[in-house]
Amino acid sequence: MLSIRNLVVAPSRKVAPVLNGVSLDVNRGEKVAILAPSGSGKTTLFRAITGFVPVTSGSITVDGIPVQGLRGRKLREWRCHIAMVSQRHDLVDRLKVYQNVMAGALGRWSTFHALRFLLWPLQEELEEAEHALARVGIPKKLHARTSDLSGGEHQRVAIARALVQHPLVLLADEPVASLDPDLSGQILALLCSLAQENGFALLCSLHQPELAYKYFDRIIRIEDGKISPSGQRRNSEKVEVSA
Amino acid sequence: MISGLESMFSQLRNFFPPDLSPVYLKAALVPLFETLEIAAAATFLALIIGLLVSLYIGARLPGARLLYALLASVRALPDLTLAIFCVIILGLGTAAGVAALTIFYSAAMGKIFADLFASADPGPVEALRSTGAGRVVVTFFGLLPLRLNDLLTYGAYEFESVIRAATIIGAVGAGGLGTELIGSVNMADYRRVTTLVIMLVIVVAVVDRVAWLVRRYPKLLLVFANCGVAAVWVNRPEMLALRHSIERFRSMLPPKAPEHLGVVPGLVGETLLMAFGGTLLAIFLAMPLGLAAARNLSPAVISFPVRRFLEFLRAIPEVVWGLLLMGVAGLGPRIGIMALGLHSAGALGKLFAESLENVPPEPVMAMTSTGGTKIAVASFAHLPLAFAPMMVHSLFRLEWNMRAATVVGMISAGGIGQALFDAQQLFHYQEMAWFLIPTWAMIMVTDLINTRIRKYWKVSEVTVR
Repeated sequence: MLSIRNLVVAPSRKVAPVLNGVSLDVNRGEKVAILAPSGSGKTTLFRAITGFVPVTSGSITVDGIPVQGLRGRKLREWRCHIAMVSQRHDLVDRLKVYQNVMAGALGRWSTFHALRFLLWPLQEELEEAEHALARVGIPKKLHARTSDLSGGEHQRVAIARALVQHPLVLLADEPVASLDPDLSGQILALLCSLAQENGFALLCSLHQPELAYKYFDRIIRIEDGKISPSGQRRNSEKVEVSA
Repeated sequence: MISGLESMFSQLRNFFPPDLSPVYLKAALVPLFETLEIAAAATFLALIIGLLVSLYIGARLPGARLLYALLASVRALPDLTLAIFCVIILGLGTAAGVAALTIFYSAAMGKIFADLFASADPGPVEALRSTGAGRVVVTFFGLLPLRLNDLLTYGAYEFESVIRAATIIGAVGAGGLGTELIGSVNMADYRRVTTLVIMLVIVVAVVDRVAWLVRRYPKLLLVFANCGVAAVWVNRPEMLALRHSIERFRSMLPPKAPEHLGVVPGLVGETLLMAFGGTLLAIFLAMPLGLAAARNLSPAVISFPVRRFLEFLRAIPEVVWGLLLMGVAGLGPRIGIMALGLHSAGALGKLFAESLENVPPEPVMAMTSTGGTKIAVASFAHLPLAFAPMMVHSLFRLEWNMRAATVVGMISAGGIGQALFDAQQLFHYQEMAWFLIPTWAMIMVTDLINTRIRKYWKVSEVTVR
């Protein structure tokens, strides 16, 4: 599924590369957590996967298709396969919840279709949004104002948007950074069960090792721009609690 | 229809080529410098008066609230209307222009500065209070240093506004480019009008750059202060005429209602029509222009020329747009609507573009990563995110256009402004003074509604730039 080989990302020749030879495979339905301190390059890794940051060398492929050199329509088709959920603040406050959810379909809609939906949503589109919201546990919020959502609901809507996208890969960049421990657990459990049911590859960055060990199949670390050797399956490693 | 277009084009031809003969250019330098003098003197005086008044309000000395209300209501009178009064009282010439702009901008700056003091960080101020210091001491040792940078920034912004106003304040005989411009229009010397408009566009462009520099390095304002002192001295009013001035002022009091009171609602209606129509036209034009000018949405090949076009639109003041349009499209409120619409489209287009550029990046990233087309992403992310600031800018424009609508009235576009100007031309000074009342009321009501709507939208403050 998602396959990264010797990835190097260097913004310029003068500074050291942010990512320096990262290799990683994530399979269908597999849940992988990245434990990494801020500034270690995990966000750069995500941005490279979604094609926002150019790859200096190495390769990123999804189902054998490389991201390098994609532009315009091809790049949009690529992005369509990769869904993003991040910290917070990535929903558009002034839109209704169903509009934010169905934004996940923008990749397969024409411009005209997208504009028509903003002004005149069809019944089946609303039903699709409601179905996605039901899967994340908040079907009642279909017509709510996005700015009225709580922190947990906010993340659920972002996940619903990702579901509408029917992704092959879901990237979650610190999805629980602004939530309390209880909610964090719920959101991660939801992400992991959806990955299993829908069969997408889940790559999720976290700060808290205990959450990573509890929910994910595999844990990797990024150090000095590389995947550090400690990345192993959870049942073969002791649970460590770092300060 | 065809013949109408034909006459429009033959009218347009009268404006070209501009009169660029060395003799005229040399002659036009005089009003140009007058304009700069008016601006420098008025900014200097208004800064000092505004600062003193706002400090008084900031210190919460007795009568502070009343003073604040007074500032708000003086600010509600259009600067050109004030200029008419100053011309009558002080006589034709630059002194009247300086006086009018000083009054208007003292109130404007005083109010902004007072607002800045009111929203200052209470911590340090309370700490000073608890030392037992008096209110005046707290103001000078607490409020002033806390807010000095913001004061200079806003001062620089107002300086820009004063120069824009100074180019046109002369339209009612208060000196500078405005007086020269109206003179040329009245003499049907359209080629010279073109020359003056070009000069105006250049002055405004230069001021744009200078103001940008001053905002960046607010201390430059202190350098300009010297020019201000000199300009004030050069343009001091004739003191010998003081008695004459007082007499003139007395001749305006008490305000007397016009004989045919029935026409007043119609006049108010015309002014409102111009203000609302002009603002709507401006929003209608500024939407596509703003999208095209936003550097994060349009490629540079499009955004660069569109930005220059917007600069051109807003460099020409409403009154001048009105004068230019009059030559090709006749008289009446539609001239006012078009004039306000074109100038405001330039201002709103720029502000819309900035609002679109300043949207938070995270939701935009999220929308882009769904793989939507550019237009789809813009309408799902940029437009809804920029909606609130765009609304606020439009509301402020409406308030501005309430003033501008009375001002363009003076060039025969109708409404209250024209009635006021006609009364002045007929020396009916008491009636003229009466027309101030509906003008003032309209703008105060707009201001009030504006504040309400902003509260409803939960956008309390918006930076003017």
